[in-house]
Amino acid sequence: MKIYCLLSVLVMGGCANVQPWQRGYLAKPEMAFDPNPATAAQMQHMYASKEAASGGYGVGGGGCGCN
Amino acid sequence: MAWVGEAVAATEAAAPLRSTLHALAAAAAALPLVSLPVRAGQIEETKMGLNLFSYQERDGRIGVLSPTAWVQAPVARDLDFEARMTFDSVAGASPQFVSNEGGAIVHTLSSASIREWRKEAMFKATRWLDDDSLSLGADVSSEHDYLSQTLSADARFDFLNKNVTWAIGASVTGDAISFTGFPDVHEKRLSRGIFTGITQILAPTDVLQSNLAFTGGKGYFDDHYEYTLSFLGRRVFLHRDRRPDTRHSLSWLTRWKHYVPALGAAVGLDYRYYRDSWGIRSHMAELSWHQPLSTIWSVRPELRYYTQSAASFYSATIASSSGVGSSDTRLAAFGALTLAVNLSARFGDRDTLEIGAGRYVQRASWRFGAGSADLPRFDAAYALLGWTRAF
Repeated sequence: MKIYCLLSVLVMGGCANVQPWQRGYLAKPEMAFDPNPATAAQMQHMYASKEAASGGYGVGGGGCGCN
Repeated sequence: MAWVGEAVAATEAAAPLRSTLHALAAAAAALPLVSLPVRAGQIEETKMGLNLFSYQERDGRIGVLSPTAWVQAPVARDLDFEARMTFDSVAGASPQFVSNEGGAIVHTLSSASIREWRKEAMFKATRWLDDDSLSLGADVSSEHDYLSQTLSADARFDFLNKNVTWAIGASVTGDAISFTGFPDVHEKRLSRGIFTGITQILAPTDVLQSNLAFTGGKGYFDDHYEYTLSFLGRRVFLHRDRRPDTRHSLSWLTRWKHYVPALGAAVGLDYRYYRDSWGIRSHMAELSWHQPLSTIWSVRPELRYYTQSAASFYSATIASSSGVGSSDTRLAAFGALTLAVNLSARFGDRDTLEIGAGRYVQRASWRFGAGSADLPRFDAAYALLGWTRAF
């Protein structure tokens, strides 16, 4: 755990211990990384068909003839 | 709200032993938990939605109309599932020839107007084991000359009082490629991917996610409909698009979300670094601001910048009729900007309407560094309409 916290401090800013009752802001819909899964998939598909780089959002996802 | 009621009732039952202040504190502590998932990432309520996405390139090129239906649902206490179906209708003309016959590089669109369809279906099931989860997914995308099938699996583990979620996953994709006009010719490609990511709560207002994805592909990567016609001195070369038969890539995506209590708004910043074995290096940064305007309406403007270097075998003129080489502009060096705005409205506790529009522009000169010479201007616009219902 100490090793993780050390890496976390270096890479992501530290091991904060935010309690469940302190997570009201984090639970708001606007704090979701992708509020609508269909919209996120369509945007990623559009960019993947026009740019050479893609990926990083998760595992899976189908290919297509557009790229 | 039953959660709050139970918390208050419990404190009232113990009133003789506790002060009023304790009771209020207990009820207040319970409030934020009402909207939090029992487990990070778990689907707590059934949601379904319909999206209509419209995309149009300038100069009469490709236009796409893409309706999507999706659903997320808990089917048992420890089992969730997600499904999505998309139907793309594609019309217009795509680049077929790149030629320097008149001296300047000219990208010629195919003379025949194309009309194609793509169907995609995705399914994912997630089994919860205490606070951890295991997911299995499948994705199929089908066109008249292209079939792509993906199987994936991922696992998620919570640590440090659910302040940290670690995800690992793997996928395998098999693509079958055929040629319009050549029914007996078929090509294949196999890609394998591995993925790992950390999502960490940094503070009551901040969450950060960082993902690494590696993909290795082997097989047919050519665009068999694209040709390069090069006039070099007195010699003329007609080159069909040919690319290496392997491609290995790394994507490193980091996403940060910050809530601004004074404004009731959320700001998001994404950055992705990408590199692959074709020599392409890319950076992407995206900034968004999600601002509620009232209890119903909220607005989310977004600005995205993207830059990439060219593939090692990219060239607008190719002095050969064989060997690896491509004039596909998607492999060129360029920069791109997206400016978009989304407006959403929540009607009661169940329905959300989303309306969005954006403009996407590529320019060689916008690349961070020098762009590819003679790259044509590229300009596209899109609009989306989405409806989500929670049950």
